Amino acid sequence: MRAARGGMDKVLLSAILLIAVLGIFFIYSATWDWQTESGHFSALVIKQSIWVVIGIVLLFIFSASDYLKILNYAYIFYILNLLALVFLLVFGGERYGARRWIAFGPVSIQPSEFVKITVILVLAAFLGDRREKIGTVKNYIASIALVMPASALIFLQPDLGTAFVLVPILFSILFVSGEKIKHIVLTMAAGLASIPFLWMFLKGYQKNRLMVFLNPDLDPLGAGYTIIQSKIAVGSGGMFGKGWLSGTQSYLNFLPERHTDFIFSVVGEEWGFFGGVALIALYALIVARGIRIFSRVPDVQGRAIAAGVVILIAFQVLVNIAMTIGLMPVVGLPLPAISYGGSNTIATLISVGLLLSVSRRIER
Amino acid sequence: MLFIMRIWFFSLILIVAMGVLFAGLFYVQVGMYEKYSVMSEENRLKVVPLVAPRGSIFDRNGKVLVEDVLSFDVAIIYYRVEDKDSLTNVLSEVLEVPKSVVSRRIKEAGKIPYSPVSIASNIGMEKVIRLEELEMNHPDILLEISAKRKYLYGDSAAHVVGYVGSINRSEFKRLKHYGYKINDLVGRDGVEKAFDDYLRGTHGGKQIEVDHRGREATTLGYREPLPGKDVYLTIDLELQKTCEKLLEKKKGAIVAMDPSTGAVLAMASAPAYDPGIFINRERASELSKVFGSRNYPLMNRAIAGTYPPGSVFKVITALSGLDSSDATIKTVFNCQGSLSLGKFRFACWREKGHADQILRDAIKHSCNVYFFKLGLLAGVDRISAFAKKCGLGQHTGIDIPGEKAGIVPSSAWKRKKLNERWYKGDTVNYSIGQGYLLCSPLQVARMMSIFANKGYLVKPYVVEFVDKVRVNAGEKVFLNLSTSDVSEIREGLKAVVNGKRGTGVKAKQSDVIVSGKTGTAQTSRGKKNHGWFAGFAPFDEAKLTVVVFDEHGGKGGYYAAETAGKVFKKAKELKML
Repeated sequence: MRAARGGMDKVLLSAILLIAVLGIFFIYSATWDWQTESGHFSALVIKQSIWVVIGIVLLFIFSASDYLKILNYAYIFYILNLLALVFLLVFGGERYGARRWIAFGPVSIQPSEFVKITVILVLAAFLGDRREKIGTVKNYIASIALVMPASALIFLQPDLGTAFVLVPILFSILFVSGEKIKHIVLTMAAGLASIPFLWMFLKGYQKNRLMVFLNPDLDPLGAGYTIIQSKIAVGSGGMFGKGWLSGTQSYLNFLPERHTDFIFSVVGEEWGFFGGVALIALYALIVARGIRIFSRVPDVQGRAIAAGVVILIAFQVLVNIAMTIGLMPVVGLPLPAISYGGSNTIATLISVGLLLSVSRRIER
Repeated sequence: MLFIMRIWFFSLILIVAMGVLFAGLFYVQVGMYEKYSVMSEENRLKVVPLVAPRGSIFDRNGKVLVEDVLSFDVAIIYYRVEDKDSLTNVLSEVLEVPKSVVSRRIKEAGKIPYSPVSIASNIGMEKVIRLEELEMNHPDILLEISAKRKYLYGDSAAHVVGYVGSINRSEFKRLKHYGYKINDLVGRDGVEKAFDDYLRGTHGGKQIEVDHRGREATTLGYREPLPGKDVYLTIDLELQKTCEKLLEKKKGAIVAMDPSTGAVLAMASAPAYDPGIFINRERASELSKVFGSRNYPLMNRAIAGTYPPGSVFKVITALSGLDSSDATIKTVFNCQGSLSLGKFRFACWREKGHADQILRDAIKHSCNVYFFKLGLLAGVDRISAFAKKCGLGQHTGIDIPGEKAGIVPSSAWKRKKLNERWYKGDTVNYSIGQGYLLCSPLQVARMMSIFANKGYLVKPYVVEFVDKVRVNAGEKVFLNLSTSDVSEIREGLKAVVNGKRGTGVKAKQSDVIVSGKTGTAQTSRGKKNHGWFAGFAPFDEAKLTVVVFDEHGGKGGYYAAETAGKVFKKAKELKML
């Protein structure tokens, strides 16, 4: 095993730390108690701060480790993660109509958030081990088969968004690691063709969300309510926003789930178009640095990890923000490292830690 | 090389996706900013009107006739409904309404999810308290307080009090700068209309910031509602009710007035209507009945109806005749039952005539021939002048709307109106209150009051105080009539009621001297006579003038006198005399 050579990507590190800290401020605003108007820290803000601290510690640990060594444990991580998902399906209690959380005392863990990482790792390990066979049909199908159980288990929870995010992760890793474009295009075509069949597997509320996405006025107070209120929040922010803690939409409770999946509508309302663009630019910076890393890293594993993390973050940011402004249906994908939630925050910071670890190995 | 291409492709997809996102964000935040910022304001701001109650209307003794009572109405707002079953159960239980009715209303409310839909109105205090307790857990229930106009005595004094109705679009446009709101009630007739500016309060309001369930979050502004001012009438409810009872199932009017001030103590017009029908939606069917009736119940016959006064007018003929140099109170005219003028014969009501009489007796007997002769001496224009002097043919100036002036003819009037010369026959008819002459019962009351107060004209009024401020004090116009003439006519009027064979003996009271004049007015062919009685009591220092008008009653003045007698009797009981 080679020891880590270069320093890690400082720009990338600063960007993710800034995002994580900003996230705490956004959650502070989203959960601000307008009734008492006291600026006290809500339990949610304190919890999120703890997650961020834990996440940053893990980020440094992972970035300091050699990712190739971590990949030795990739299959174990992946299998453990799959077991957790199975456990959830069998024993998990439902919350909001889905079985996503495993509770450990006061702390709930959302294994599907970590699947995003373990899938990246297991694919990297798999492709690294078989790098001579990349491009063969057998290898291609085997890679897909490797991810299938995770996707299926999450889909059954059901957690459409997370199951969905695994698809671009899988294909972009296959793409950058040198799989045949022909294969990828064929699979995608097949996937598109099967969408009508997937529709049958969707739960009622999921179908509703998709229908309402197509026409929010279908149900302005039901499923469409969130989209309409979120658009009002973001839209009324205008160019410069209403200012921190001044978003009427969010603090008067018009916006449901505003500290989790819809946190961007708080950002949009209070910081306006410029604030939103600035935040997206921070993510874009991470993505750009990520692309730079995987284009320069010499090994397949590093490329797979970097591409997976880049697409994980980019995809979630795009879908999440598009959803708050009504460009996408409401699927439960968080804004990475900002939406309230320990699992999301920690998983995102770990994934960036992995990216940083890869960054130390790039050819300068 | 191939790898580089893949990286470029990979980056390109992300750049395009980010471009779409920026464009979307720009569209929503910059392009649609106006729309969404308005929606956001509408989301959060709400003005809750605080209704100012309208002032009450009292009778002269401080009895409430009309007042605003608070009405508690229950409504639901559909979009706040969280659990239809629980809402149905709660409302059905508290309001004691079948569940099927409640759930049907909830369903209807679903069609207009943002507007409150009424479930029950005017619920009792006990239910209000129970619902208030429930309101905390049921933001979908809305308790609305509104002020409802209540006419406590139904159709009693309806024509004086008047009624209110919702402001219409054109009125609203005209009046909105005066603080009227759409849906406001505005006075439509009677005191409600004439004193609308005082009765109407000034609405207040509360601007609040609401949360997503419409619950109050903070109060941004508050303006206290100012209730309307109270109005005190000159009407005595007891006397009023007596007058109305006397007119039951008839058409006509009774006016009772203080002859020294013009304060109207009772003013009844029959048929009447209940002002409540204009504000209760459940009673809308009664409206069409009122509007459709050929008896015109909405018309206040006491001021807006003009009729030939008949022999009551003879007091004017007497004044004019005595004013001419050819007649005095001692002048004797002979009555043989009729008067011939050319080929026309004008009959007295008593076929065999009244023989020789002086004025006093002629009034007592209501002899037509005497007044024909006296009227011919006076001449049409003198009669006309005195009629006008005594307030006929013009508005009395009473403080409620809808008065009609009536007609006091003269030779010039006839030339102008009918393009015909005035004939002696016209004067003959004129002198007994027939022909073109038309008077309202209130004008007759005002005219008779001149003889009650021995010489001055009063301005009738129905409102004495607004809050504590006196708004009418009794305006007097002295007419400079000959005291001896007036006194002689008064003697005649006394004899009408109290003398042997007087035409108004039915009005006679044992404990107070009533004086007055009967009248039986012929109307158009085929229709029954109008009956009149106009009188006052006591003889000296008169305190009450009463005019009874019996529209097409067919019974003449003799019976009108009987009715008036009952009014005097009641007034005596009420210690007004």
